[in-house]
Amino acid sequence: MVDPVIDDADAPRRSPLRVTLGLLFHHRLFVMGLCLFGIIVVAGTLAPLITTVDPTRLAMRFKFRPPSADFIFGTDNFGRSLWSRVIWGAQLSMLIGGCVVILNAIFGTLIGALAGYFPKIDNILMRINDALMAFPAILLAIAITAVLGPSTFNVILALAIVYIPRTARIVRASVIVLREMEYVQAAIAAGAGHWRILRHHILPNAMAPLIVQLSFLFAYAVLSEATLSFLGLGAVPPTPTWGNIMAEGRQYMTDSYWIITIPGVALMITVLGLNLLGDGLRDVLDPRLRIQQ
Amino acid sequence: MIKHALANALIPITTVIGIVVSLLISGSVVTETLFSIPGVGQLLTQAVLNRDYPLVQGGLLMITAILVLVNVLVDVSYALLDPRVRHG
Repeated sequence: MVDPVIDDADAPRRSPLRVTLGLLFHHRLFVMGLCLFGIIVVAGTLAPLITTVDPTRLAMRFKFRPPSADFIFGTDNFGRSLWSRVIWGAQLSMLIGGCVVILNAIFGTLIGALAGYFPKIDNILMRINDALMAFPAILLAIAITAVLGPSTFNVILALAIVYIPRTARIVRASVIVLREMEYVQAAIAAGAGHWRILRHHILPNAMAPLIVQLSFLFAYAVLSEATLSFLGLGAVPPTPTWGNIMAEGRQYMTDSYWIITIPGVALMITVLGLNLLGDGLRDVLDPRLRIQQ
Repeated sequence: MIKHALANALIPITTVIGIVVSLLISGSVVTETLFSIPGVGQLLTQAVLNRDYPLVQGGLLMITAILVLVNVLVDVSYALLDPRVRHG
């Protein structure tokens, strides 16, 4: 009888990361989502290169120009180039979304891991969490920016505070399950410290649902940011954000439909891309939830 | 069908109702501002823009109280819909 271990050693070794990436790139919807989201990220990153006009430069002579060869996306009520404004808005949205996701990854994991691993502080942390989660997300973000004042940094802070309890809850749920696993019990029996168990045995296995959640969170953060700046609570005008472009274009919706439509479509592409990406990640990383085909 | 299938389908539906009410209220903030409907959502936005903090606090507290109440009702209705929950 051939020893299966020797058989495996002959085959080319594939790291788990490469296997996962291979699966992801064969997932059609994931690739599509990645492309849609990639377009927005690239546009936002390359904003200084692909826009020639300052997004805040006024040119009253050219106001309300429909999309044409001179103005790719047309101009708004002050004659500002909508192309520039939407691209710079993309940069700001990506910045805010990225910061909120990073803050959530750090503090959500920290709070979730502590609450899930130490039953003593679980109750305190989770009751605070419950209290924060009782508020509807957007309303709490509005209240926080109302207190702190409208600015880009405060929007990041408000959205992070609003979404961290939700992230912490997901991390906690997987930590609680993993804590009771035999291999964790074995690690405890072998004398491993709390820190080592959390870092090496529990958190790597709790990452999959977190990564999936973070990709959806990016979409929520971008949407909430647009809502806040639509209401006049985001970055202060004339800084272009998708939300405040739409808020300004709303009054001219019937004549100059492009002012409100183009940032709206950009927002839709971002959220659609991220949701497809998140679905793909979930299918690959969380095989239990995979839809039977 | 009504007696057996729908009666059991009611439990997830009531759970979703709790979530939908929360989305409805937070959505009303944007919708009321957009179409200038005088409602709690617009009241809150105006209060925020005018830096009227007591009004923001009060409005937020009221909305949250409503949501908590709705969720309590959802939990209570579980017991009405599914006799198994009652003794749990």
